Amino acid sequence: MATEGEQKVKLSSSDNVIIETERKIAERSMLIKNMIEDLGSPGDEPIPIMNVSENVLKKVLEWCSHHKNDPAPTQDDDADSRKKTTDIEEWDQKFMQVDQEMLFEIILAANYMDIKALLDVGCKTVANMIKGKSPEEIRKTFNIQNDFTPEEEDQIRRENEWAEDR
Amino acid sequence: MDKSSFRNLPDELLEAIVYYLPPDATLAFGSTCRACNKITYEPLVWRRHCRHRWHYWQDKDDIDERLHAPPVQTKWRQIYNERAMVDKQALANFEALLGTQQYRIQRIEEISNVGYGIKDLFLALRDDTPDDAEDVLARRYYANAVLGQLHRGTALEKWARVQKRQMVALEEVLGAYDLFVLTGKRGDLSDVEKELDRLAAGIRARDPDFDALSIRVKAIRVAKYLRSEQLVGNPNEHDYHALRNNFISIALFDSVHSSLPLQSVAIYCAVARRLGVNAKPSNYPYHVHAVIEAPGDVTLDGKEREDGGESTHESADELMHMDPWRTSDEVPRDSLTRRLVQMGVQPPQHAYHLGSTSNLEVALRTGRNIMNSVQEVRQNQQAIGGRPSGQPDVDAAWYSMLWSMMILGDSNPNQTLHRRRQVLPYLIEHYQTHFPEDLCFIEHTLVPMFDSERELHVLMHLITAARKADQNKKAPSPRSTATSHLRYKVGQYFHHKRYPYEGFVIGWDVKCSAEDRWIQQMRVDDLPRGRNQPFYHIVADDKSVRYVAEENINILEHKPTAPLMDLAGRYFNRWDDDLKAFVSNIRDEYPDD
Repeated sequence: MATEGEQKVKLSSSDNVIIETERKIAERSMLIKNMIEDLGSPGDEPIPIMNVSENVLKKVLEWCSHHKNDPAPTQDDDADSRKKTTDIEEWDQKFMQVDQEMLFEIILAANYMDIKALLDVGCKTVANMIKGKSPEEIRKTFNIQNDFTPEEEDQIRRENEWAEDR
Repeated sequence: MDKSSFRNLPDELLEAIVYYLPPDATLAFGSTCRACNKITYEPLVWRRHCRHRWHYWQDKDDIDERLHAPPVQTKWRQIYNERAMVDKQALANFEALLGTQQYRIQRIEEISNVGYGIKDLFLALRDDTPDDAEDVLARRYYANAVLGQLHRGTALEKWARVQKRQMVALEEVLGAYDLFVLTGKRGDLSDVEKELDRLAAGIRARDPDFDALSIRVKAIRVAKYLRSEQLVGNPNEHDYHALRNNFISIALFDSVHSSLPLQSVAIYCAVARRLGVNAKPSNYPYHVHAVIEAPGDVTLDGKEREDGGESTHESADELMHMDPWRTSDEVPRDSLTRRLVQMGVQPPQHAYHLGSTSNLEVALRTGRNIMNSVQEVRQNQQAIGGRPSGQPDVDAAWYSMLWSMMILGDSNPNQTLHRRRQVLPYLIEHYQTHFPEDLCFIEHTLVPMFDSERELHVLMHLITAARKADQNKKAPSPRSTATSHLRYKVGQYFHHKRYPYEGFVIGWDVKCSAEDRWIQQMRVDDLPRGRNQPFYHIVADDKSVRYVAEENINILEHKPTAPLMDLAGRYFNRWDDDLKAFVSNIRDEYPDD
């Protein structure tokens, strides 16, 4: 008989595609883990993942599968003492080499499905795209509209005085 | 527009991204649009940057309080901006200081006067300036000079408070000595305080019922813990008088935690007091103990006092002694009394020696111990030569002793003045030779002490001359046909032909321009080339500035030793392997060297 971790779990994407995976992989998602715990067992009914479409869900499960044996994150990490590095391990870096739309879909999905480690990797990836760029370059990268009035821009310049000429 | 663009991310995810941005990227991000700007105003963002960038704060208590309060109650971004501006201005002033000798002392004062707000920046300048920086030696030297002055200013302030009978914790009174010799990252008063807090917490954690124990049991537990962690005592007893043993931060933070009995007792008392045990150093001759007094209403064993709290501290219920340097057991009172009798102390004096002493006395006792240790080091140096490694700087330690002797004194003004008069010439000489940047302490601390005394005139003259020398542009000595016969340049490294020392050239004269008396005393005219040969101002490896005839200079071309490199930062930017000389930072004085 299959161990608990090898039990099959069925997930249903927002576009109603059923995807089957192992319980251990699916439970990288705290959302799914809690649902299964509430039900007592995975059961035969597919678990609805309402906000995540098939292609994104597959991508997320690919990540979960690679990381299925990672140790559980420790709970005691104070937001400030957490290691504030934007280093990303090599596999994850490759995994995140996707277009921007997919990148943000993954981040949204990781947030919705409550997969902390994947969310961190996604946020670090975006942070690395911001670092070292000027405001104008950041706008271009992410297609952000500058909606400041000239007065507001002036004020920001004054507040950021310490950072000039550095 | 597609549905998953950057701008569609909810605020909480934008915050999660900003979490990974350094301060400058956070600002750039916040300057892109209103929504992003709003995110970068989250107090947690700047609270985190404040904590990551700075360890030391001018008003540490205020920051600790804010860190414990809900983040929204503090304008962390504003605090970050203000502190970043302080760093920026101090750095600009420091660059100016490196650029010219003019106003150099004044600039060191201006920067160190900012207080602990600049400490992190200058630690980084001192410790993280890369070896291949153009002005690496000067940058490290003067960053260290700024830190030194910041630390010494704090020490003098603490002692001045003790002298005025104001409250200063024992660990601060003693830690003030450490502030003169600090070289590592830790050891400042706030580091010592934090470490003592940590030790006290460690004792509580080991024993969940600690607070319910009697004072006597607590006192013994504290000693047991400190001894098991080897934080008190001295593993090498032959090193009893080693200079390092006088400094509590070295005892706490160095991998070998050795100390004198007095420093061990101070650490013990500081930790014990954090745990509700009223421990103080004793007045016992030669070997300090910790005295623990019972609180008003109960005995040391936790029984209610029958006499209603009229304490005489004569009985073993109310007074106990510990010797954490030697043992974690209580020291029986009769053994202490017996030794007093052996020392010839009269019984009426026993209560005094068994009782507690003041922080001021402990500070003076440490000053005397440092004096003894330094004298021992100097004797050994003469015997074996060279400076022992792993020891605090002897000149800095001596300087701490001189200042403590100058500031601290008893309540008798005549005796205090007498001692100050004795110390004054030594202090002035030491300041001029080793710490000329401390002019502000001479002005602000010494002048009021000798106000309307006969020394004032000389003191004022000395201060005015030093100020003027700092404010004036150095008169340049350019090279010309008149100097073409000079063989050596500023920055060259040599050893003396006849004496066993090395040094480097910091100036020259086309011929000997010392006073006639010096020329005669040194028998310059007996030299083969006499007094009309070029003479050089040099700094020797014993830190002295000397005046040497050209014929006695033997140029060396290898890289100088580390202590000489450290000294060289006062005059030079770096050592150049191709030139086989230092690159000058005194071109305002010698423009062509």
